[in-house]
Amino acid sequence: MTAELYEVTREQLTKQRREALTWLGVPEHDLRQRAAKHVLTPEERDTLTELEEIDFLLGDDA
Amino acid sequence: MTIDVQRAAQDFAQEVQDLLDSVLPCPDNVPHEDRKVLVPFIDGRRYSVRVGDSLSKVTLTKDKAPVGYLRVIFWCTLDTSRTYLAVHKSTFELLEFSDRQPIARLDYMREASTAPAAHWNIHAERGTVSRMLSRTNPGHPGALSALHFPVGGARMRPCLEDFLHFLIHEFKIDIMPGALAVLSEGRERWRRRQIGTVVRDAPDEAIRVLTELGYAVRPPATGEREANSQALQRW
Repeated sequence: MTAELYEVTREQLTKQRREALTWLGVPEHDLRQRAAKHVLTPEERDTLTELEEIDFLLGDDA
Repeated sequence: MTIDVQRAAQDFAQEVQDLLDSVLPCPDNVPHEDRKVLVPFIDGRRYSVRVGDSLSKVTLTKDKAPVGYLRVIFWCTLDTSRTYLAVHKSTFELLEFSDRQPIARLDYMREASTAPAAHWNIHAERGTVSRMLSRTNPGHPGALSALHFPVGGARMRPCLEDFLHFLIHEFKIDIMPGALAVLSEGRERWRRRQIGTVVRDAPDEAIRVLTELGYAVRPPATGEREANSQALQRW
């Protein structure tokens, strides 16, 4: 199989980020606090994984 | 020296794709497209190498039945000298099929400051660990899964081939014919690359060893390059 690169824009990533948090229904601050305490649900963990990728691509992961 | 970073990212992603295709059989009920390595990137500088969607799960099987997932993620950027595509972060994770919490995770974070750059997290809670942590480090969450077991730093960390070999050796998951040879070749490729990086960190050691082996090594006209103690001393 051939691996595939595709370019994304800041606007797409920002929209995707907003939609992921809306779907989860948990404020990001609460999500981060639960992550720090290692008490995330599987859904929260999956959403955080998605957010972390977006933040890396946006350069906001530092 | 400058590199075509997009080409380097494509080549790296294809290496991951070829490795997974050569080692792990794709179950009948998983569309082949879900095993495709996809790489979203932005501004030609940041690349996320993963399998399928952002959760990047690869189904593991035993006797053709799904038993678990491998998660594999690489985030890549240009290195500080802007001459190599560097892994900024990688995650290799094992999950059981019906449990969405991981069993074990091998992380690498190039910029890590509060944890070893390369480390295992083991998700197997044990009262003894929590008890000891509560006495010695009350600020710690107290979970074994929150401990970071160091594994050789950035340069000598295990590679994806090592993680796959661990799954094969310990869990006896299904593999493709010839998988072990592919892992060995990939591991050699990885270690040769890391050796190159280590030589850049410590050229004095490379000169010493090559001289012991009978080679004649001359410094460049620009003068000897100093060892990168910061890289060598990092946790």
